[in-house]
Order: sequence, then C-alpha cells, then structure tokens
Amino acid sequence: MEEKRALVEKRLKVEEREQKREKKLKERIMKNEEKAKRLEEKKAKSLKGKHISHTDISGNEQNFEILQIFPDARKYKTTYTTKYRNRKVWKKPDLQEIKSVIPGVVTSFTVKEGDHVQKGEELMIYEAMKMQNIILAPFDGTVEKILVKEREKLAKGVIMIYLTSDAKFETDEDTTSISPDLSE
Amino acid sequence: MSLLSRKISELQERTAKAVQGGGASAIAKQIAMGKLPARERINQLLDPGSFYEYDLFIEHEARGFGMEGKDLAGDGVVIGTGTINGKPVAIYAQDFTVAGGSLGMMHARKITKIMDYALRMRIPLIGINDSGGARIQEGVNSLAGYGEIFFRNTMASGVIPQLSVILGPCAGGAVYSPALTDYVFVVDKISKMFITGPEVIKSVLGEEIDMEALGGARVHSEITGNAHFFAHSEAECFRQIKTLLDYIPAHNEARCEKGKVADPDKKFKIDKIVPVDPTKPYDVRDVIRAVTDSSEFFEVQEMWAANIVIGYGRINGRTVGFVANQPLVLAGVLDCDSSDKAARFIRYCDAFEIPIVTLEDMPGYLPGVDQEHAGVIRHGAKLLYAYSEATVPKVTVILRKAYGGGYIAMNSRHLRADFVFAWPTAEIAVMGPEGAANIIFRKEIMEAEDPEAMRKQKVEEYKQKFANPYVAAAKGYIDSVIEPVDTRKFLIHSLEVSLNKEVKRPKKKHGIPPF
Repeated sequence: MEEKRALVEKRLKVEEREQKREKKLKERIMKNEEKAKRLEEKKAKSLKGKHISHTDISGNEQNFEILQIFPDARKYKTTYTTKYRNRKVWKKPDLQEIKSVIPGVVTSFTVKEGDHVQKGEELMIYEAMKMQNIILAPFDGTVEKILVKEREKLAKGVIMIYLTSDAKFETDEDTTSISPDLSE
Repeated sequence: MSLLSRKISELQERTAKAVQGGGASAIAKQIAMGKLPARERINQLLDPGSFYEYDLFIEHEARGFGMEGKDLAGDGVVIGTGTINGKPVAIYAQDFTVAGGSLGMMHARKITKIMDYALRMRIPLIGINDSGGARIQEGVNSLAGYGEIFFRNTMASGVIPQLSVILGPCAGGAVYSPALTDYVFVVDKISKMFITGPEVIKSVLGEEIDMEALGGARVHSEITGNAHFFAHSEAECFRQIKTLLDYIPAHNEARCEKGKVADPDKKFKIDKIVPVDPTKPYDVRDVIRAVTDSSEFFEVQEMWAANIVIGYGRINGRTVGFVANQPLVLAGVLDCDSSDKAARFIRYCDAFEIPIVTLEDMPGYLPGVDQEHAGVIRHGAKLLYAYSEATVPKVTVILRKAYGGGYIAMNSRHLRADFVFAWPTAEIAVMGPEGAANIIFRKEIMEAEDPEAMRKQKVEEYKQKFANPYVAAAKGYIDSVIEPVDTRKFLIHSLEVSLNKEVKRPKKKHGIPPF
C-alpha cells in the first residue's frame, strides 16, 4: 500500500514537473512570437511608406505602396507581394551565438554557465540525423548563457549557447572588417 | 434465358460491381470531404456521354500482408478516352474510395497504358490525382510504377499537353508526376501536395504545421509556384481545364484552332491605361485586354510572382502567349520567381508553336540580399535563355521603361525578337535617369555650388537626351515607334507576316539551360 502511494506520488510529481516545463516552454514561445510580431510590425512600418489610392479601369479603388530600386532615384507606386513583404531582411550573424545548424535533439552539455573554454574544447553533444555531433568552441571565451535544456528538440537555427569571446568581437553591420578570430 | 443473354448479364453484373469503386460508404465519405467520386469527375469534365473506360477488370498484384483475399475495384484508378469541346483527350483519375487511391503495380500499369496511348495518338493527357501515395504492401513494385510514370511524363513533355489536376492528397514521390507535367490545377481546401507530411515534419524537425499551410492549394498558387491554376471548386477547375484546352494545340506539330475574330471591348482604351509618369502604376492586363479578341485573356499563375503576367489570348483569331511586366506589383521588377515563371511559359509556347507577345515596362532587377542569395543570377538567366532559344514568332512592345539588363532580357532585338515596337512614352536606356546622372555627372554635381540643383538639372538633361525611344530607334534596335492606339494593328500584321517563320539552329542534342 505504502509503496503504491509512493509510486503514485512520484508519478504525480513527474507529471507536475512536465507540466511546468511545458508551461515554461509555451511562455518562451509566446514571448518569441510577440517579439517576432513586433519586429514584423516595425518592418512593415518601415517598408510601407505612404499609402496612395488610385481607381482602376473598373472603378475600384486601390491602395499602393512605394518601391525604390535605386538610391536617390524614382519611387514607384506599386503593391507588394506576400513573399516580398515576408522576405528575410539579412542581418550580419553574431558568431558568439552558437546555433543549431540542423534540426535535432540536445543530448548533453559538457560545460555550464560561467565556464571558460578554449578554442576547440567540447561544449555540448547534439544529436541530429541519427548522429552524435560534438559541438566545439569556435574561439576562446566564456559561456555566458545556456539557452536550451537537455533532451530538448530543436529546429534549425536555434541559439543554444551564448559564448562571449575573449577577443573583442565585431557585431556591427560592417561586412568589410574581419575579426581577428576569423582571419586566422 | 439464352446463353448469350446470360453472358451479357454476367458482364453487366461485373461492370456494375466494378464501377462502384470502394462501395457506397466509401463514396459517401469522399462526398463528405467535399470531393466528387472519380467517375463523376470524369463525366463532369468530358463532353456528356463521351467517356470510354478501359481496364475496368484489372486485379491488383499485392501478395502477402493479407492482401490476397482483398478485392480492389479497378485497382483504384479509372482510365479512358473521351472528348472535351469535341476534341479527343486521354484521361486517368485515381479513385480515393478504393484503398485510398494507393498506387500499386497494376494501378501504375493502367496509368502508363493511357499515357502511352495519349502519346501515340498525340492527344492531350489529363491526370486527376487523388491518392494516399504508394501502396506499402506492394513494396518496390509501387516505386517501379512511379518511375515508369515519371519517365513517360518526361518523354511526352513538349509533344502533347499534360495536365495534372490535384483533387485530393498527392504526397511523397507522387508529386513528381504533376511537377513534370505542363500545368497543375488545384482546388482550394481539396488539393494537398508535399514531399513529407506534417507528421514527419513534426516528429523529425519539431515544426508544427497543418496540411493546408504546408501544401494546400493557396500555398502552391501563391508561394511555391508549383500550381498554375487555382479554383474554389471542382466545377470551376473543370471550366479552367476546358478554357486552357481551347487555347492550346493538341500536340506540338498541330496548330492552335482559330478562334472567332472580334474587336476588343471599347472599355479598354489603350491610350488611357498607361500613365505617362513612369512611377505611376496601372494594371498591364488592361493593356493585354485592349489588344486581344473580345478582350479575352486567360491568365496562368495569376497569384505567384504577380510582378510578371503570363497567359493566353487571341489576336485575329490566333492564340498568342503574353508575357508582360506588371507595374501594379513590385513596380514590375524582374526577380527570381518572375524570371522563372516567364521562362517556363516561353518554353511552353515555343514547344507548341504559340507566338509570343511581350509587353515591357520594368525598372530593372530587384536588388536585395535575399534575391542575390536566392540565385537571381541563375534564375534571371533562364529568361535570357528561354527568349534566345525560342523560334516561334516573337514580338515586343515597349510601353514605358526598358532599362539595363531587364531591357535585354525582355525579348530584345538582341535576343532575336522578330519585331520590336515602342510607344512614344518608352524610355530605353542603360539605367534610369536619376541613377545615370548621379554616375555620369558625379564630378559636376560634387563641385557645384548647389549640388542638389545641379543634380536635378543633370537628371533633366539626361532625361531629355536618353529617356525616350529614339536613341534605340536610331540604331535600329526597335523597328517602329508607334502610337498606342495602333498597337493591335501592328500586332496583327507582324504575327501575320511571321506565320511561316523558319529558323535554322546548329545541330545539338539539347542545350544546357540554367535549370
């Protein structure tokens, strides 16, 4: 009897933990979504410009947007396609973000937050396409933050670890300068 | 009862059983999903009473897994021939009520039989897809079946029109048959096409998405460009098929049937549609309707890459393929998708001897990291390749802007257009006046007391000198500067004189287009 109760309690606890985890995950997803939405709105605003209306041949009124394809040149009144509006605006990647390059599952972490690692040291193991991939430190640095949990399923491009580089890292939009870590 | 009548009644019994497909309950389910049964689809699409079915009594080849005892009517597919608007066609329709329309060896053999027939008789082939995919129990035999279909699709490509109608799921390897055919028809909420379904994507990648958002009709009509015609119902879809078959010839050596010659609708005043200001938008389809017979225009891929318009119309009774920049959308720029879209259409017209009329008004190629990284060089090159390669009559009308690489790409004289006409509003130059002035007069502008005023002056100077059709006309790059109201007249005449056009090309197996 006692044993059974203990078992039930244990199971309940596990369940509770699971639920908590899920809730947290959901919250995080919601947060990300909100962020994405805000970004989207901002992008839409910056792209939109002025709306101009115009009546077509059948007398239907239409709204237009502005497209300028050369600097200081003509501004064309036109409409955007969904694909154009949703296009990814390119950003210079922050190499300190260690991202998942393919979808997979986090197997285990070799480091914890605050650890200092040298270039080539093991950070974590990440299972993807049935392979155990060892993720190595791309440069000397400190593990600033671990953003995912063990056994978590990840899509492509999710930030797993933020590794602050010892050498100063360029993160601005200047594409011409190459940081010392990259040029070697 | 005589022996003969007994034999006949046996045939009638067998037929009655076979045409029931998966039975009443399966048919009820199909209808509940908003879909028609396979034979009903064929009957609605073809001329009434014109359908003749073959291979009704085919039996499946599945061995093991408890399949031996099972009876699959016609092995899940209906094949036959009939007529549409009196013209013969070959058709197959997968029957979802029989084992989910799954493709086994005999199912595939029926399809390949009708494909061979269509190619031999040189009549259009219509395939109605509604299938859960390969019949797993038949293993590699069903894969072999798909392969046989793909090979025939490829062999028939450019010889007979091949139309794929997606009226249900079409998943996995099965999607490659439609992809290899000329035109794909989809119906909202009914058509679903993808390589891997939502369940696999979720379990492997953790991405959650439903079928509609992954590979529904809208997605393929607007985002991927896999579909060419979008309809709200099966009935509308069948009407689209009939209209398309009315425009295109039965095979690559046949000429299109001549339509009724009629003037365009007076509503489309060609000299009033295009604003003189090159930055103002308008719907280029109105210009097309202002030159076609009865102002009829049948657009292809209306929703995808809408910055270029493609489709069919008739000029003086003769079918013409139109390619036109659309200033209404993205200012009519060329980009990856629009180049891809136009290039394939041009190759279709060329394969089936349909003359091409190009209406040009575009500011250039769309700049952007996403475009460059998506391979705009390779995709843009497709357009150059397709126009250069095409030997059908090619006529270009430059309405307004024709700048830079875009001018060359849009069926210019240099890619062997037969006739190039320009409106007086045309601006044919290496780039827009603003950009050009900034580069050419950079020094003057920098050194001027009032650089902005100088810039304006230089832009105006450049505009006066180069933003017109006469510089190109002076070199013979365009044949005539024409008044907008004369456009139809010029098109009729130029198509008439190029009726027997012949081009000799160097011997080769085939070119290597930038696929």
